Amino acid sequence: MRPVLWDFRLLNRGLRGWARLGMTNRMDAWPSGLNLDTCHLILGTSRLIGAVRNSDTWSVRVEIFAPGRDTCPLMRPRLLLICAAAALLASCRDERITTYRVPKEASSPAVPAQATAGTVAITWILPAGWTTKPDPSGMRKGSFLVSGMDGAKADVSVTAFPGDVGGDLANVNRWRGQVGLAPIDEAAFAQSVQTIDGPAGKFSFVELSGGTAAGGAQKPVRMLGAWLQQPDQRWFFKLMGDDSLVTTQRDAFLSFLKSVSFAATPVAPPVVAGREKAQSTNDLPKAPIAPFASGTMPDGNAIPAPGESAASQAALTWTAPGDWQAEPLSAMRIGSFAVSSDAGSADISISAFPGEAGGLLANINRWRGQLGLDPIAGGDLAGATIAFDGAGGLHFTVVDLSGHTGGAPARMLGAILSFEGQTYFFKMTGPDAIVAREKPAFFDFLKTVKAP
Amino acid sequence: MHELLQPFVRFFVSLRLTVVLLVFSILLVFLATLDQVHLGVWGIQHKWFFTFIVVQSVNGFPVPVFPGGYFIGGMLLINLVAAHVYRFKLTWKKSGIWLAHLGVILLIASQFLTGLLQRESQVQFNVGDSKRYSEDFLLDELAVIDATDPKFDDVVAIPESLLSRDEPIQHPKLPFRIVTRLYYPNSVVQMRSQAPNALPSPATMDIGLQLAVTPQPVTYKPDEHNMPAACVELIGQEGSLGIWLVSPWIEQSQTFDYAGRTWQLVMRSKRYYTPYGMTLLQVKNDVYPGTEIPKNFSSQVRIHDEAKGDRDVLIYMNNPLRYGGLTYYQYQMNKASGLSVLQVVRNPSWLVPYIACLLVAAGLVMQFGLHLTGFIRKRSAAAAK
Repeated sequence: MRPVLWDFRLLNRGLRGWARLGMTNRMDAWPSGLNLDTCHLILGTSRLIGAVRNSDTWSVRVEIFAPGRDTCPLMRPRLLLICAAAALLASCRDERITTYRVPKEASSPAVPAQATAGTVAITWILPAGWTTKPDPSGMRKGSFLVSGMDGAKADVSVTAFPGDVGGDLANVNRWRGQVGLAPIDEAAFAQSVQTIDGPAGKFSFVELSGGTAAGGAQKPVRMLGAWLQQPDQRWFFKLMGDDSLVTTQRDAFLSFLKSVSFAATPVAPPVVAGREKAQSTNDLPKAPIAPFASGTMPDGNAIPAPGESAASQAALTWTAPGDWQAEPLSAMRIGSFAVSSDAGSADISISAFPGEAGGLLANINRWRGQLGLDPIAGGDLAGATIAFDGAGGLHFTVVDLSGHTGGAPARMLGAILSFEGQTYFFKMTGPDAIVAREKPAFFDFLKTVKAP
Repeated sequence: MHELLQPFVRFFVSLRLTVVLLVFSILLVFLATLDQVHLGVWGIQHKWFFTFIVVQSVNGFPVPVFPGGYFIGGMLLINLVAAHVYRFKLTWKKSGIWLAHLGVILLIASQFLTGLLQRESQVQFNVGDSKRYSEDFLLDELAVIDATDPKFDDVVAIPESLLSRDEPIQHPKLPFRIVTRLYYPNSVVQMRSQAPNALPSPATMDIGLQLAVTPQPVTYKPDEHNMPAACVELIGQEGSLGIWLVSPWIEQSQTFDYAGRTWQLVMRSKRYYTPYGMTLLQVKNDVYPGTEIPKNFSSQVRIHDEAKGDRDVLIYMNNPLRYGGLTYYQYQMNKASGLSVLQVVRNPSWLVPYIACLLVAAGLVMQFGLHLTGFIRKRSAAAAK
């Protein structure tokens, strides 16, 4: 059998939040594993209305009950009679299309290649190993992640503000607070600031270390900060992270500063915003918005910082074996390694998605599809997977699959872990010889995965 | 006629009805609290409280299961008013009871108004940012922006709920109609290269070609946010302009030219614009000395109001800013990145509960005072004998 292809198409959506879906499943025969449970996993509550076979295509009509937030109890026909008057006033007020005219917002693209700010365009050259990362606050002109060995991480940010933003001393003292250092006075400040010449002008530069991040783990942190006055704005460049990593990245940061240049350009018309901006932003889809627990504030006990909740995606920690090479992280990878030998190289990826991410069966069948294997039914799940207990009570569901990718034999070790509302995927793929050799190392690696 | 009405009158003025309704309201709160597990704190408000009848879906059919908050509250109101009309006489001796009950009536009415008129949203900004709008906690909208004017954006904001229906959307300000080709109330959007086995998406334009959308179950958890996704086809006079993928995952607007104008498409949190702007100047997070226990969170903001001039205010816990009919509360903060989130509440009837409580208090004091003076007078009269 060929792999399952899904094609969902929304046909209708009624008042009560019902939707009918047309689904075609190009299969030679109705697969035993494909039943309503499969739909249930992916779509929420669903109901099979009927299935029709047209030559080699199955058309299935499914009704899904998606009680979306648009569900408006007062819109139910039977209740309309009872509460027509209230319905006029009540919660349906958000159903209308509204129009308004607003002044244009200053655009602040998250993409560094060419950030426009007013009439000035800034460009720079990224050092090797720096990857663009999403900016939950939306205020950065540039946002990068630097990853080192053993999970060491550092964050690079580029921001710009009009005016002097409270003065250099206040700003450096704010930075000092972020690395857990006490504030300094004007005299000490004057001594600590160095000047770096670049094509863009004279950068003021400070190096701060010795403290630990405020509220964070007790790891020593280091910060390199620089600022540069431009006619209309003051630009801030900051590298902050684990002490050892930032120390090794010092030269890279300085060469990054020297690569910065400003070019006067006309105000970017909205037309150019289009494609390139959109593309590059979408390398890094935005993390779901921070939790909105109403009532958090009145207690006064805990105010979740949105930045922190965005970072909770990487809440787990792990230690990779020595011969695994750390690879740059990408949009959906929160961990990436490669291991190679004469037999070729295997790729190890770690990713995380909110919720069940489609469910265990759907994901294992997705992996099976990647190796050209037939999907399995829900009943066969127990026989096809290995339960593996990691450290600290973490339970992994592991599969070991052999198949083909692109005509070449391939093997995959995959582990799925559900942890605090996220589903984590650990996956090693490569030629059979190397994956077989690395299998013990993969399980040892899973044992190093720990909750913070 | 009067005799026919008697049973109704007796029913509505009876104290038994009051007790039954009070028991029902206790049950309502209890059951709604249990249902939070399924629907979350936002969902149950609409299902249990802002409704006349609670409707439960049993095997896909809506079945009324319990009187809703509006029904119980409304009946209590009728009961209270009817009891006054039929049972109590408006005398000076009873004036305290009248005043106290008037307060209770006002309290019930104000809760009804709050349910109808209250709107909560948030302003999320970093130090230095200026915003002229707040964003809804839950609702999203598709903004179709005419960005031709170099100074202004003309926005047509389409609620997400309209996209979820299978009806073409037309608006006099748009030279095209919008037809939804695909809609997921909750989704994950990834680069297609990261999701090789993703479903083919109907998008034919812009970034949508490179993205894969995976539907997710709708979430009701208070700490999760549904991220909808839709593929919308724009159809002009000459035919289809293409199909765009829109989702809050895609922050940047997608731009195209049509009918000599420049348009932008973006799905984002529903925005409520205000006639004034607000700039975040400073955030402060004080802790108790020597501990990590937060003592105070505060945001210093500057209000830019063309009509009233600029004004600096400090918003901190239990000290919200009331401005332009809105109340701004300090809600969340990340001091390290200089980010502050203010909760914005519009509730035109916010004063009514205070007035109601004052009335109740005044009524009780008055009733007690009348009894006391009556008692003292009687005793002194007895002593004089």
